[in-house]
Amino acid sequence: MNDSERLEQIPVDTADVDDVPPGAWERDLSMGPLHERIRSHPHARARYEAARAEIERHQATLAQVRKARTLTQQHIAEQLHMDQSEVSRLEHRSNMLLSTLRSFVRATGGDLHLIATYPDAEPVHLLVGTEPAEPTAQASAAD
Amino acid sequence: MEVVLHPLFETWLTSLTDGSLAGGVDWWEVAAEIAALLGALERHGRSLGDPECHEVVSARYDIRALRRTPPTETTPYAVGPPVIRVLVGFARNEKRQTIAVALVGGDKTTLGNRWYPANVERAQQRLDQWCSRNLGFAPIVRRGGN
Repeated sequence: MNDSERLEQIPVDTADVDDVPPGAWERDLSMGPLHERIRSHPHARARYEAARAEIERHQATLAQVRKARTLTQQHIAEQLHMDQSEVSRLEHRSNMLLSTLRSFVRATGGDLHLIATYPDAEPVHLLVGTEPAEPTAQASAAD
Repeated sequence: MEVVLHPLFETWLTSLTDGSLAGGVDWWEVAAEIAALLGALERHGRSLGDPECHEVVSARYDIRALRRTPPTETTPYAVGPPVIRVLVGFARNEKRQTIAVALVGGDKTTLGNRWYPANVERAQQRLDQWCSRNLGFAPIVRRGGN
């Protein structure tokens, strides 16, 4: 990328509230026209779909994670020895024990990783609430 | 959640793809990224979280910064601009109907976090103005804010 291209940044929007163009409040200000415009432009549409998929992977809820594995609340309930209604409540909770979260993820066949990110350093995997590693003595007992 | 665009935000967003800007950046890609962020807000509402959405703690209103920061999985090659930020606010009426209003968009590549103060103030003024034009709606104030 050369210098002239570097200058092509998004235009700055410094408009004052008194600068609303005539008739602008009467325009369709819903999301409809924006979605329509993106859909009608093949390249923009492809980029939108890719960004949407990436965002949804970041924003997954417990219910979405479960449904993505085509599992029912009943299945999770049996794995966790709870009622289905408890699983339903769990999926709507905004806060829970890490151990509860970990067991939910394991019941969907996954594994929970906690990653702390820093603006100026590499991400760090946190060991919180994980069982201490078993002594390796088991390895010799296995054979 | 219903998402609407402040007319100044709509004017700015439309200007990205009306052909008046020089090449070097694919403005349709930028518009698509912004549409994807606003689409995520439509689906997730105020529970939209990190890394796409951060609360702006310096605001008196509940202002959130929607974020696309390169490199992402879809732009692994990106090393520079745009670092897209879209400030949104929320308004509620007596029937407790909540609407998200897209207020200010921009690129904080050059300014970094110094991009925020003036733009957050601009966003709050625009939210006030939007509420004055939409009878019964008042800005939602940030929890723990003043």
